[in-house]
Amino acid sequence: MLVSLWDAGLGQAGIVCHHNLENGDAELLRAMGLRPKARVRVCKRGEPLIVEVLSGCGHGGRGAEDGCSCRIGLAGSLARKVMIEATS
Amino acid sequence: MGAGSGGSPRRVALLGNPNTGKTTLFNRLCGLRHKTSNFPGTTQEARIGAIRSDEGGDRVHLIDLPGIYSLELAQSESAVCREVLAGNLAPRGEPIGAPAAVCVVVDSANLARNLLLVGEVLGRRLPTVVALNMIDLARRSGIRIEPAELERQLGCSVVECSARSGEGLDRLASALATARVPNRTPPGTREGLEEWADSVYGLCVGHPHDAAAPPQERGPAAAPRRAATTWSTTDRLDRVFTHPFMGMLVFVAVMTGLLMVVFQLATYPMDWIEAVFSGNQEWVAAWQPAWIAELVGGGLTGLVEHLMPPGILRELVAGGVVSGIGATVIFVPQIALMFFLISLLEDTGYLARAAFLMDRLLRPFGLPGHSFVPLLSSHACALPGIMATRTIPDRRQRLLTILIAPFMTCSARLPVYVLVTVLLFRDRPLMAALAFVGCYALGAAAGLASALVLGRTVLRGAHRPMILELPTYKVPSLRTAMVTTFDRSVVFLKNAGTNILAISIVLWWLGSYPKVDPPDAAVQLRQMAAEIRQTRLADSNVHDSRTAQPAEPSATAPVGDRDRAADELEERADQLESSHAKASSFAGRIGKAVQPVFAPLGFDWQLTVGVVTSFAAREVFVSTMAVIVTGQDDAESQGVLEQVGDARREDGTPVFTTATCWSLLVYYVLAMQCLPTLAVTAREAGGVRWAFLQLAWMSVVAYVAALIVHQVLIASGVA
Repeated sequence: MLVSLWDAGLGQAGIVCHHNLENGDAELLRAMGLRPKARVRVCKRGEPLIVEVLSGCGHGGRGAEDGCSCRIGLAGSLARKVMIEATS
Repeated sequence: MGAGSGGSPRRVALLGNPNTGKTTLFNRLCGLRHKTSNFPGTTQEARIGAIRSDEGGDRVHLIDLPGIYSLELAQSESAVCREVLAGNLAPRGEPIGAPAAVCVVVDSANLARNLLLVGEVLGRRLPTVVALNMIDLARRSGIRIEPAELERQLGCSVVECSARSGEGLDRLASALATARVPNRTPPGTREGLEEWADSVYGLCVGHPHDAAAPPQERGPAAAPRRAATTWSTTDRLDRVFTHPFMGMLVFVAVMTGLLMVVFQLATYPMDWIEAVFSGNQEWVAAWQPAWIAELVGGGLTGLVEHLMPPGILRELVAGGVVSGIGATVIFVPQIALMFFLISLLEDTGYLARAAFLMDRLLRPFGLPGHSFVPLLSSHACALPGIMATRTIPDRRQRLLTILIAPFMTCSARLPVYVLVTVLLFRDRPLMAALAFVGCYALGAAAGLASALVLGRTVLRGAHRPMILELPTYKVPSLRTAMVTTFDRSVVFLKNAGTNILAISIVLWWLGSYPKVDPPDAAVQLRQMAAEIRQTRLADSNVHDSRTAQPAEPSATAPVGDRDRAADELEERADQLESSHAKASSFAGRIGKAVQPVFAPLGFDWQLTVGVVTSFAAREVFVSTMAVIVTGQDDAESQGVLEQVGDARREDGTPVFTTATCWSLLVYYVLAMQCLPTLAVTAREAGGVRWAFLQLAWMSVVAYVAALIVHQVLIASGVA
């Protein structure tokens, strides 16, 4: 099921499919690890939200249980443009 | 920092993602053996430190580059790093040229993302060392990195280390001295680089659960996936710290504690500094003999006056140089404490959560959540507030915050508020308190409104939505906090401090020159005092010759009265001379000349001189008014304040009418009137033009607001 990060529920995990962001934001988020195939989890909903990017993109990823992740505070306007494939 | 014994030191660029412990590593490797500079043509700060080798001599010089996520981003930090690696840019004072090596600091617990930057650097074909920092935390989290395999995959040296514990730092220092060009080159495209990073990560990182899996199933895919409903400690802490209500409570508590510590604790060293420069009469009793007590009582100013012969040079040194240095150094305790605590908070990971929380409140005004701490700090003093804007990553938003910070009511405004609210609401403390609160609110509202206006005009730019990394919670490093504090204090003294000193000397001169003859009234008073003393002396001689005995105590009473009368006349003459000297000084003359400009605000020449002379420091207004009106500078005396309040214009009308008081109050809430702040703005914003813009904007806002208030009140019949 394809949903935006904004619409994903609290604790929802998924894999980033694509984002429809402007160049500067897209490049920054990509460099921060929030890129296609990245495993993510929504830690806090609302404006702004917190999304956890799990390491090991493209390989299923390491979980936050390993401390192998980073958290990004994201404005709602951006979160609406990041689409994820829900995995749990 | 000198050159190494074997020739020029090897320059190594220190690069890494934000929150990888790069600064802690730099501090650990270099300690205080570093200097702070900047990159020419930019506002980016550069720190250059020396790693001392066992043989002695500085063999490796580290250049601490800004934390970046990628070399390819359009941000100024990335541009600086690109140029430094390309050899086109070097810190001021350093020779231009590519660094001898690059040390990429990575967070071992977040290796996958960090490998992207590593790949970009490897593509530059410079000798490279990868520092696997925070390896202890990664191990504790169950992450097992194979350094030998990683070294093979990257084609460069990889050193496991921990800047906090010191583990592996010797090995890292050795590796930096012998770094080699990598023998592998990652793909050049973004997609290719990401795939390469994932592949390297999969090959080099193992987990405890991998041991039970067959080799073909090891790797990231085998990692257990946590149920979505399982929450970590970080989740739970984040839930509290970023909650709209609970988070705000924690934030208020933390900020209150921070400001209380900064501004309460700082008063002690500030008092000591003031006493050292200006003297402290309370200390006099503790010193013997009397001449030492006199020196102690007068501080460095008194010492200069004691040691140097009277003249212009002595006045310059005592009134300009020593006072100017004192006016600079006195800010150091606040700045040092502020940065010490902010560094600790930042290191814990809390500051990012605070910025996250406040973002919602400040975003409508074009400010990021990061602005809140600097703006709050500015309520005590704008100087540490402006310097605290360094935590704001976006330059445009940082400039905006710097420009509006002085609108926040600082402690220097309080003497003016006290004077005016006492005049407006004598015997009505509740109303006076409400007026005080109103002043704070007006300053904050004007600041936020200014952010809106400036953000849509002078600093117009794309609205940058929040993208903020929330780092892992950690125990803060005291060492890093102390080195940061030292660094910031030195930067303040070297840069802003020299400006403040120069400005202080100029203002001292404007307020002290030209020297003028005493006014006729003062001369007459002195003549009268001299006559009284002469008469008393003559009477005393007659009395002594008649009795040929020492005068009894009772016989001296009328003589004592006459002495007191003469003393009072001389004191009054002193006051008239001080008042006359102040009004006749260049600053006073400028005040009189520009009085027509301030007339629509209801200011007469006395008030205008007060405004002009307090241009450097608004707290000077009350003492200037006290000197002009009463000839005394004891602005804390109730009697003097009342005299100031009762001051009359030359036509006999009161100086402080209700309308004038409100107008003056509004003017001082909004006006800049603080040259040290302008000096720090110029330094932190990266140009004098920003200081001029700040001065012009605040002056216009203050003038127009005070004008409106005065004219409306006059039109309403409030005189």
